Amino acid sequence: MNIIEIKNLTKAYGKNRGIDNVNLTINEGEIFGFIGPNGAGKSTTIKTLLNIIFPTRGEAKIFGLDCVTETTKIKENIGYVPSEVRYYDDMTVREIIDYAKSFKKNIDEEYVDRLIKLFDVELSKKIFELSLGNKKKVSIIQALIHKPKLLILDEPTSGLDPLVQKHLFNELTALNKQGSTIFLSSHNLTEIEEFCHRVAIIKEGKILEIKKLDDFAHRTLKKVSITVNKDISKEIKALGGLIVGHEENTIIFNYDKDINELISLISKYIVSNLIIEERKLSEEFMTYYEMEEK
Amino acid sequence: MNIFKMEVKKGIKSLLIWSIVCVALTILFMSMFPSMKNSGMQELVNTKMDALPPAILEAFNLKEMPDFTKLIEYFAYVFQYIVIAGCIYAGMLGAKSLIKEESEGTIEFLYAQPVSRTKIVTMKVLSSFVLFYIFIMIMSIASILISSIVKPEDLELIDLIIDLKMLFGGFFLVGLVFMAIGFLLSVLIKNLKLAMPLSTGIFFITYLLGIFSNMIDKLEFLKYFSPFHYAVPAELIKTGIDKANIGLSFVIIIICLVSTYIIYNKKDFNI
Repeated sequence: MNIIEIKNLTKAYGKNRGIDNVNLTINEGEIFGFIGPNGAGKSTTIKTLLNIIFPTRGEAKIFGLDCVTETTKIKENIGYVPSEVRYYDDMTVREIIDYAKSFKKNIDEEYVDRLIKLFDVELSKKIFELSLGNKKKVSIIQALIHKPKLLILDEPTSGLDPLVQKHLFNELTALNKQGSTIFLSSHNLTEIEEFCHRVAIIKEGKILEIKKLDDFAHRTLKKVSITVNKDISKEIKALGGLIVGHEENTIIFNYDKDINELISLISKYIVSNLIIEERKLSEEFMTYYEMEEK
Repeated sequence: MNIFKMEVKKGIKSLLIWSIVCVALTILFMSMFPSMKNSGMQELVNTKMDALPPAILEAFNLKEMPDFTKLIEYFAYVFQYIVIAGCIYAGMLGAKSLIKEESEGTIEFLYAQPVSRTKIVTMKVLSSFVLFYIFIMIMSIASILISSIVKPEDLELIDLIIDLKMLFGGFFLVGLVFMAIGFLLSVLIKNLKLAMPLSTGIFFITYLLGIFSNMIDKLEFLKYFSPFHYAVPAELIKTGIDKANIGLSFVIIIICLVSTYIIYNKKDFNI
């Protein structure tokens, strides 16, 4: 079953870019990463899913329900952590959590107490007294209290210390095992790499790629830097290498084809330097951007 | 009801401040009544007033000189300044209600809950209505108590209460008109900072239009653009409230509220 289905979703802000023709499908039980630089359209996509803004064209569905006309029904089963947490300043943490609880049905009080202890929030503190990280913790608690079927998290770890981040991902993993789907927007590529099943890369409002993270993990993608006595860039391209830098006799390229063919090619020339590295998701991610800029 | 309770709770502090200031003003004004009644002050006032041009008298709703020795006429005259304050409070209640959540970003939390935009507006309208109603009740009770202390012995308390009831009824209606205009303003403006100057500005511009309509015969039609002049206290105690003005008030309230619901249900939240 598709939990989120986005078809040709476009949001235009006058002359400013929003999102353009976004298509995404997120399956039940999936942990889906959503990455892209600032202003790429991640938050615009999330705000459209939550009906905070209306789409210019296209449609989005969650649980098979329309995000515009059936948003109230959808939100019964959604937990949301915004990138920038803003609450009513003069309320206490307890009042915020109680207020969030008042909108939900069948709250497991023991689970809420456990979350409060786990994330170590001071219930009597007023919101304006809290640091960014502590506000984020309150936001995480209020998003999790009803064990939602879908969690939409926009930069959930920003401002959190490593221990709290670990607690968060343990909790998310537990919820995912119970069937919750997780939509995680983040700049932290390591957490995306370690945690998500699939990832979508968005830039300038457009989805560049949607990848299974298994592809990243198991693919033998290498970053090669070679200094050779002749310009062999054409031959490298012919083998399937993707040139990302070329300076005098040094060529830098990404390569995921048969390594023996590459060795066979370079053995014909005089090589003064050769570096072959495994590529990480973060580098892969950067490559998409470099490609676009070129 | 959770949103309603939260809104009322958030509005209590401001309600108390407005109530304390307005009750203090009422006490101040009414404490002058015994001296007004006893020392030939009316004659002095009349002499001074007669020297003023008729247009100025019209502007201050002194077209027909009130008899300041009569408690209710004196009260009705000073009460118009309380009505001005109350209308500004009502307008601000409306104007801040919806835009505040957007400007402060809290709408992102509220609207992530299973609650419709229509319900958010309804709860904000109801809570503002209740807060203003409590304000009116506080002012009514305070006015009755203060007036009963300074009232002449021959004036029956029940007659006083009947007259005050009419004054506060008119006050409540006019306040609701400005509150409804405030709600419409709240879905049109982009920033909370604009709510107070704009709602207050609208009150004073319409108030001035009403004054011009009194001063210049050709501009009499402008009185319909001044909700304050639908229920001027000094006129209410003499002629009662004009049914046409009641109708007009309801028309404005309904148009503003319906527009508020329509726009709020279609707008992008600016966060």
